[in-house]
Amino acid sequence: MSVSIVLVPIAIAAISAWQASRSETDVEGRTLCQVSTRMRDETLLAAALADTRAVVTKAGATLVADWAGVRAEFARDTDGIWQAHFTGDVDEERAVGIIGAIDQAYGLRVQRAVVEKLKQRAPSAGMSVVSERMEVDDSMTLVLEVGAGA
Amino acid sequence: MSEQIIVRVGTDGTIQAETKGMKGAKCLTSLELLEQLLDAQVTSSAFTDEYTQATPATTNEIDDELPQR
Repeated sequence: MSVSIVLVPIAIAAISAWQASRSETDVEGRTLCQVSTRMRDETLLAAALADTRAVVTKAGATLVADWAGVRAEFARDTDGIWQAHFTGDVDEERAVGIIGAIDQAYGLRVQRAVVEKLKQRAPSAGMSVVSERMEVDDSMTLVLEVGAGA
Repeated sequence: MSEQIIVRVGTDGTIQAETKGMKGAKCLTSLELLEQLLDAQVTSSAFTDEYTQATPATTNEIDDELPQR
């Protein structure tokens, strides 16, 4: 063994997880919740939302996700990280729970994207994937041979 | 011994990578290449024993930590 590193794809903000939410009530008495996420990539976010069975639409720079009785509007903050604004039949606890489910789906999407990217790009960097396996915790292990690419 | 990089991608999208069979500075250049390939950023790093077995073309003057960008 030589060097070991931990990397975070740019699709994920370098924060440990989604942040605490803020909830308030609008003039009509509806609960509004805001939750910061660690998600950056719009395509992967849309796919993750679909994985949670949301109906996803795009309105300008905003992604709108609808579940039964709950709507979340996703907009980027100044750092390019998506924030969710929940309305409908939702309180802070449920909003955090929904974001947790989306975050999990997003992580799986990122995992899939990273594995695909590695397999596609490794040959151009003089490497080849010599083995690939799924571990018991569903993480993926790939072994790259250096100096064996195309 | 062949030169390899073992890459483990978690279900949360984070990546752990480790070089095997590589000595000296080649470990670092290979992992920098991996960083570019995966559009990812290094958040932590550590030398393991093999790094200090420098190749004949390299010196043994190494810092305790990897350079961070």
